[in-house]
Amino acid sequence: MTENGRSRRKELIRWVALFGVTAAMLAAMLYLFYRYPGKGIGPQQPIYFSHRVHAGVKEIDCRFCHPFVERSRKAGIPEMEKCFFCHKYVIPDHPQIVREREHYETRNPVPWVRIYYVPDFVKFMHQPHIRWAGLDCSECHGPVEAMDRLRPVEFQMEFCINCHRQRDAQIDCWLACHH
Amino acid sequence: MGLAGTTTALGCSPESSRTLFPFVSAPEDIVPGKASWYATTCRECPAGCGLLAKNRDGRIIKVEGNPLHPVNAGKLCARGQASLHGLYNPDRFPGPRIRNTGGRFEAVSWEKAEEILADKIREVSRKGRQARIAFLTGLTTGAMNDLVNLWLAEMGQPQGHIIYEPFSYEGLRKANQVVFGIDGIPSYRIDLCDFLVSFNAGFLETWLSNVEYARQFASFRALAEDGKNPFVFVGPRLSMTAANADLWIPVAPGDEYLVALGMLRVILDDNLPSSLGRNERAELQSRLRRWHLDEISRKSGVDQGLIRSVAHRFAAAEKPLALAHGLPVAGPRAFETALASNILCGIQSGTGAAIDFSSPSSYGNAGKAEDLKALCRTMREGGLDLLLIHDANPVFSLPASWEVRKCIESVPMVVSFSSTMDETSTLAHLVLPAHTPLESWGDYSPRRGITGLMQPAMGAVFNTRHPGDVLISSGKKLKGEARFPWKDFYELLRISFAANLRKSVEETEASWQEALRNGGVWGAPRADTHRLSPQISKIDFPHPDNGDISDPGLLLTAYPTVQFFDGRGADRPWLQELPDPVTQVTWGGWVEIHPDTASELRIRKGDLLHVTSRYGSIDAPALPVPSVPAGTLAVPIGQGHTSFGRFADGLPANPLDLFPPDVDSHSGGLAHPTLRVTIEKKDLNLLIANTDGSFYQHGRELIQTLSVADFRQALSSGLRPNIDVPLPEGFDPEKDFYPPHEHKDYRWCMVVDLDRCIGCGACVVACYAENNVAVVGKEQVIRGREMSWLRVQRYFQEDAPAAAWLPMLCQHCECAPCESVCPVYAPHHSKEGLNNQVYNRCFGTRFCSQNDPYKVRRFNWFTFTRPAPLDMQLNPDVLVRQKGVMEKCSFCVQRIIEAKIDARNKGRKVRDGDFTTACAQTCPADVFTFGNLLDPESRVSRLVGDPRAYQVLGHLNTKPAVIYLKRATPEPMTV
Repeated sequence: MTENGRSRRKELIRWVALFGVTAAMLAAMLYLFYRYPGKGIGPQQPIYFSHRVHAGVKEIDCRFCHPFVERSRKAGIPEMEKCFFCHKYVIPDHPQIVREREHYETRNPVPWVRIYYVPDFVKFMHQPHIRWAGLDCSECHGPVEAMDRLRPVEFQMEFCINCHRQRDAQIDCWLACHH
Repeated sequence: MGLAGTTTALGCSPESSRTLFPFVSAPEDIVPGKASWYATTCRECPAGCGLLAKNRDGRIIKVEGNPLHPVNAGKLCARGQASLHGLYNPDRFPGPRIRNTGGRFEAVSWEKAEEILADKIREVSRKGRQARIAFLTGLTTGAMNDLVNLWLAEMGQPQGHIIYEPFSYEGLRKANQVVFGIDGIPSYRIDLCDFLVSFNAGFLETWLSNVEYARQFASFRALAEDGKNPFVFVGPRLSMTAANADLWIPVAPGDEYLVALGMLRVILDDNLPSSLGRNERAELQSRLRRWHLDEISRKSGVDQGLIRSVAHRFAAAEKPLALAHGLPVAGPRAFETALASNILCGIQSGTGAAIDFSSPSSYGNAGKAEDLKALCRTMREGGLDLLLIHDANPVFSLPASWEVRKCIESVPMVVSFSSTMDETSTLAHLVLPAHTPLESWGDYSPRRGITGLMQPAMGAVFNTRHPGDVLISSGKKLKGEARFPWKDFYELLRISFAANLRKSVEETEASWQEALRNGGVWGAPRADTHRLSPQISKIDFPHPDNGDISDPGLLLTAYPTVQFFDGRGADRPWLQELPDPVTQVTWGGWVEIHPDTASELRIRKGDLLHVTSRYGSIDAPALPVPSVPAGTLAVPIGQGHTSFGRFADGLPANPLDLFPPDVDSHSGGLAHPTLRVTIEKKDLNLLIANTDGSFYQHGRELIQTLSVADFRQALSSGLRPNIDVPLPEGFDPEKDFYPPHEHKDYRWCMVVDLDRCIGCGACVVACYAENNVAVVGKEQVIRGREMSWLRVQRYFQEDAPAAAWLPMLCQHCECAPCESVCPVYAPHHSKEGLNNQVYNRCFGTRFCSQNDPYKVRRFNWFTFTRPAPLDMQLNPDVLVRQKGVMEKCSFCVQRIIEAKIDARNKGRKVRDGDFTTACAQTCPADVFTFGNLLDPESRVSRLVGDPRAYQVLGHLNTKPAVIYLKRATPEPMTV
C-alpha cells in the first residue's frame, strides 16, 4: 500500500517537474521571442550608426544622405566620404568613427545590413512616392528619427495596395509594380 | 510567422544576407537606379557602327545604336546587340596566362607576364633577330594602329604589323583597281539609286557594312504609289538578301559572272543607253567578243530573255547600281564578277552618285590572304622568333588545308592578346588578355571622314588590360621613358586626337569632350555627284575555268551569316539561339540541300553527311530546305569551332575545311575554285534545333500581300482597311460577348510593316537583352522550349523560290483569348491596353498558352540560369522569371513606365516618339512603329488607316493591337 502510494507520488512529482520544465522553457521562448532586450530594434549594423542621433537629435534632412529619393527609383545610401564631411570635425576620435575611417582610408566599403526591401518581383520606385504623392519618408519607413537601429517594416502587398486605393494611385499590376 | 520569427532570433534572417555597399567616394554624374549612357563604337565587325552603352549601377546592361552616328543612325544588327555577350562571356581569360611545361595554361601576374614578354624581346634583339618578330592584328586604325607600328619599329621591326581581316574583299578591291584605278572599297549609297542588282553581295547580312546598307535598302525600297524600286539578286542561294529581292536568279556558285557579262552583252547588242563614247564602246565590244548571250545562257542555265529584261531595266533606270560580293571566300570568280559589275556601274552616267570613292572603307587597309600565306610560309620555315596576335583568329578563319595551326606551332614564342580562348590563342605561350572594346579607350575609322571614339562604358569585368597599355609599359621597360613617354594608352589617344586637329591637348579639351559625347568625329556626307570613269582598255574578261568538270558530285557554296560573321560571333549564346533567318536553325551548322535532291539521294533531315572535296571534308547534318537550287549544297560559315568556349565548341561544321590551300593570283585572296563535293550519308541522325514548324503558311494568310496596282487603287479610292481596332469602337454587340475595355490616356499599339522586314533578327536579340529572356540551349530548343518573346517567322512561297518574314510577338489583343482562361487572372488587361502577365500570380497551368492562337507565350520549364558573369547583363527593371511561370512580350512595359515618369517630370503626357520598344529601336529597316492609339496624331493612329493594314488571324476577333501592313508583291521583271 505504502509502496504503492510512494510510487504514485513519485510519478506525480515527475509529471509536475516535467510540466514545470516545459512551462519554463515555453516562458523563456516567449520571452526571448517577444521581450528579449533589443528584440525588435532592428539588426545590428557593422558600424553603430544611429538614425535617432542624425535624423532626430541633429535634425539632418533625410535627403542629405539619401539624395536621389526625388530623382530616381533608389534613394541612395551615402558614400563613405560623406560621413567625413562632418565627422572630420565632429567626434573624429569616437571609436566607431575611427572604424569608419579605417574603412574609408582602405577604400573598403562598409557592408551595411539592408533593412527595407521588397521581393524582386516588386519594382518599387521612390521618385513617384516622394515627388508626386508627397509622402513623408516616415509614412513607410516608420519613425526613423526615434530609432537608433532601424526596425524592418514588412512591406506586404496589403501595405502598398491600401494606400494606393486610398489615394487613387496606380493599381495596374504591370504598369505599377510587377513586371 | 512563428518560424520566420525564430529564424530572425537566430540571426539567419533573410535580412542578414542582404547587404548594401556604399560608394567610397561618389562618382560624378551617377545616380543610383538611373542609367548613364556612354557613346562608343561597335567593334563586332569592321563596319564601325556607333554605340550607346547603357550603364546601370556600374554595369552595361544594353547597347543601342548611336542615333548621331553616320554609319548606323541609331540602329544595330544582332551581332552589335550581342556584343554584351563578348563582354560578359564566361569563357574569357580571367587574367594573364602562361603555358607551363605540361602544355596547360597557368595563371600568372601581369608584372610577371609583361616581364616574360620583355625578356623574350631582349633575347631576340640580343641575337640580332628583331626582323623575326611579327604582329598580327585585326583591322585597326588610328592611335592603336600607330602604336603597334611604332612599338614594332622601336623593337627593330620596321615593316609594321599585318592586318588580318578574314573578309577583306580582295576580289572587289582588285576589280576597283582595274576598272576605276583605285585599290580600295568605296561607300555605296543604295538609297540614292533606283535599280539594284546584287551579284551575291549579301549587303543585308555581312557585306561591308550591313546595318548601313540595310538602312539604305529600306529607304531604297520604300513603298510609294508608283511601287518600289526593283531589286534583282543573282546568286547560288536564296540568302536573306536574295529573299528580299523582287527576283532571285539562281545560278551555280561563280556563275554570277556570266549573268553580269550577259547583261553587258545585251546593253551593247541592243544599243541600250550608256555613257560610253564611240571608242569606248568599240573597245568594250571587242573585249566581249568572245562572249555570246546564248553561250552565257547555256552555261549559266539562266534564260536569255530574263538576262535581257534585267539588262533592259538596268539600262533604263536613271541611277542603276550593281553590287558584286567580291569576297573570295563567298564564291568563285569574286574578282571577275566584281569586274563585270563595276563595268555595268561605270557605263551608266547616273551611278556615280551611288559609288563614293572619296571616303574609302578601312577594309582597304586590311592585308590580303596572300600576305597571310607569306606569313605562314615564313613561320613554317622557322623564320619567326616571336609572333604577337591581337584580335585575329586565323587558325579558325583560314582553310584547314593552309595548316595555319602547324605554322603557328613552329614559332618558338606566340603571344596572344585575345580576351577569350579561341583556336589561335590556345596555341599561345603567353596570353595577355585584352579588354573588350566596351571596356577600352580607342578610336576606329570605318572609312575616311568618320572616326568613332571608344570609351570604357564600365570597369573591367576580368583582370585584363588594354593592349595599348601593355605595349606602352613594355616599350618603357625595353626602350626607356623617352621613346614611350605616355602614361597609358588614353594619353596617347588624347594626343593623337589633338594632333589630328593640329592643336595641343589643352586646346582640344572642349572638342574632345564633344567628340566623346557624340561618339566620334565626322563631317557632313558628300552631296555632289561625280562621274565614274572606267578604264575599259585595261580590261580583259577571262573565260572562266569550269572548275574540274572531271570532279563528280554536287556544287558547294559557303556563305557568311548575319549571326556569326566570320565565326567570331559563335561564342555569343544570343546569336546561337537566334534562328538563322532563312533556315530558322539554332545552335549549329547544317548542310542545306534541295528537298528534291535530298529525296533522290534518300537523305532525311538531320542525317549526318560526310562532305568531301578534293581538299578536305566536314561532317554536318543535312537540312533539306528550298533555299538552294537542286544540285547545290550550302554550308554556313562561322560554326565548327573546336576551342572557342562552351557555347561554340563542337557544333558542326566549318566549310572552310573544304577549301584549297592556295591563293588567287589575280586578287591575292583565297583561291576559290568551283567546289564540287561528294556526300556520304553516315549512319547517324542528328537532331536539328530549328524553330519553324513548317516551310509554308498552308493557306492561313499570316503574311498577307497585295499588288502595287491594288495598293494604288486602294489609296486613290480612300478605302479603309478592315481592322477591328483595339478600342471600344472596335466592339460590336453582334459579335462580342464581353464589354469593351476602358482606356485611360494611352492605348499602346504597334504597327509592323512587313514590306520593310528584311528578316535579320536584330529585334529578337534586342528583346533578349532588354527583357532578360533566357537562352535555353540546343536540347530545349529541340523540344520547342525556346523563350524568345519575339520571333521572326520565315515562310517560303509554295509556288516560287522566295521567302518572307513575319515578326510575331504578343498581339496585346483587346479581346485576348489568354485572359479569359486563366484561373488566377495572371494574364489580364491593363488600363493602357497591355495584356499583363503577372509573374508572381502565375502558377503555371499553361491554359493561356493553349488558348493563344499566336503561340507567343513562353513557359519556363526550368529556372534557366546564366553562368557568371553573364548574369551581370540582366536588366534590373525586368523580373527574371523562374520555373513554372508563363511569360511573353510586355511591349517593354518598363520603358513605358520610364517614359511616363519622364513626361510627368516635364509636366506633360507622353508624346509620340518620346520612347520606343527595344525591337523598334534597333530595327535597321524601321519595321516597327510603336505608339499611342488614343492620340489621333500619333504615327500608329495614322498607319492603322493605311490600306495595307491587317491583323493576323483577325477573323478570330481577338482585336490585336499589333497591326501588320501587307507586303507588296513584286512586279514581274519584264522589258
